[in-house]
Formats: sequence, structure tokens, C-alpha cells
Amino acid sequence: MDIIKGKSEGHISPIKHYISVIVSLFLLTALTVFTAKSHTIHEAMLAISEYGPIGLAMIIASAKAYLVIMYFMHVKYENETVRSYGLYFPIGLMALLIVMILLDVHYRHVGPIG
Amino acid sequence: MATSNANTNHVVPSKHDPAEGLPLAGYQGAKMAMWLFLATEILLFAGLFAVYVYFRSLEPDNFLAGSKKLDVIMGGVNTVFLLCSSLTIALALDAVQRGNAAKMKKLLWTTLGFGVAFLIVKYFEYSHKAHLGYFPGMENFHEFGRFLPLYFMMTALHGIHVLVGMGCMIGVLWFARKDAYSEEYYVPVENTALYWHLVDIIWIFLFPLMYLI
Repeated sequence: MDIIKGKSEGHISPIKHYISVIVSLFLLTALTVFTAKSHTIHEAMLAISEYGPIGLAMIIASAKAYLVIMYFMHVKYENETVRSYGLYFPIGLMALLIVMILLDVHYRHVGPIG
Repeated sequence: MATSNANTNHVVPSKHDPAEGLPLAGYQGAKMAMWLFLATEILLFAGLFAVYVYFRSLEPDNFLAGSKKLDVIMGGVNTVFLLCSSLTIALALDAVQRGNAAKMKKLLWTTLGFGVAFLIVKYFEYSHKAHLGYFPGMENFHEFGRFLPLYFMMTALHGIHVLVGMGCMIGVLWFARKDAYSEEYYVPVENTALYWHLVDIIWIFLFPLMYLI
């Protein structure tokens, strides 16, 4: 118990950082709703690729997740051990899983896309 | 000393913090353990996101039609609730880090309020789906192929995580009655905050995938 109860010494951020992050999160939420619901932008994204709209939404969602992880969860100030095992490793595995599934559905010639 | 023997090698009880100098003991170790747990949570949802990618590739039309049946206003309001709750719990941790436990309690109650608001909106969404016969086991459940089953699976699992996070907050508030937390020791507050942020991040991805595209 004594080991667990060692002195807590997490990073303390200035309050204005939290305020900037929440304002950015609200703006990005509004942006993702607007870009998904605007007919013009939807068509423009579809013109780029069939995955255009979903790609744009995922880029905005990733930006929001980045802000939460870096500033709310203080990962910006964490050591490399926490970053590697807690973040890079599971995200890498998730990316690997999704890339393998995308390769499979595209090159196995099943379904409407194949 | 020239006369040293094996006895001098005995471990002497130290007055120092036993965790001192070890990078993964004490506070750092507790946080590392929480991050490893969060990694397993990321992988739990990674499986479901992979299923989403696969099902959507198989039947893109069903997913487009199904997502149009969801209420963007309700989903958007819930997004705002969760983002606000993420801010208030981050500020709660900040308050206890600065030694203000009373402010921490107020902000945790606010966070709980946002959690309750999220679940109330979710309840209205689900009951509307039940009214249309889209709920699991009802006649229109398979109207959009695999979209509705996956929608209920992912949002319900996320909802359970919201409940667990709220339970952790109630636990922190319970122990905070006896002034368990201060700027010297706030591991449970920080770990609860980390868990709640993860719940928020999962919703950040669920909202566009389910409601918008």
C-alpha cells in the first residue's frame, strides 16, 4: 500500500490550456456535422474518392481524439513507457487489424466493392 | 570497512519512500497500470471498429440508409455533453492537484450530471427506436442489414462504460468525504479521469461513424 501511496506528482497545466482545448473540440464537432450534412462538401469529397466523406470525418475525429489524449489525459507530458505501452502499441495493433480487413474485403472479390 | 561480513548486507528498513528512484513504482506504476488497462479497452473497441469496417464494406447502402434514421441532434447533444464532462473531470483533477479538494468534489458532481444527461438522451433515443420497431428482437431490427445490430452493440457497450465511469466517480466522491485525496495523493482521481476521457474518445469516433456518414 505504501508503494501505491507514493507521492502523486502529475503534470499541472495552466487552466487556459483546458479552455482552448474545449473550444477547439466544440469547433471541430460543428465542423464535422457541417461537412457531413452539407451537400456541396459531400459531393466534393465523393469526387475525390468513394471513401472521401468517411475519410474527412475520421480525420476530424482523430484531431479531436488527439487533443483529448494530449491535453486532457496529459500524454504530452508523459514518459515514453506510458506512451509506448499505453498508446502507440494498442493503436498500432488496431491499425494493423483494420488495414488487414480492408485488404481482405478489397482483394478477395466478395461483396459489392470487390 | 575491512572487517565487513555477510551481516552488513542485510536490508535495513529505510525511512525513504520505497518507490524512490524506481521509474515504474509508486505514482508512476499506478498510472502505468491504468494505461495498460486502457490499452486493453482500446483493443476491445478496436475489434468492434474492425467489424464496422468489414460490415460497411459488405453493405455500404444499408449503412448509409441506417445512419439517416438516427437523430443527429440527439447524437450531437450527447457529443457536447461528453466533451463538457471531459473538461469538468480534467478540471477536477487539476483542482485536486492544486490542493483544492472541495472544488474537485463540485466538478466531479458536475461530471456525474453530464453523464446522467448523456444516459437520459440515450434512453429517449433507444425508446424512439423501440417505437419504430428497430430495437433488438423487434420486427424491423434487420431492416438495414447489419447496421442496427452493430449500432446497438457499440452504443450499448459504450453506455455500459459510461455507467462504470460514473460508478468510479461515485467511489472517488465516497472516499473524498474523509479527505482521502490531496495534492500529495490523487491516484484514484487521475485514473478515473483517464477512464472517463477514454469513454469520451470512443464516442468521438462513434458519433460520426454511426450518425453522420
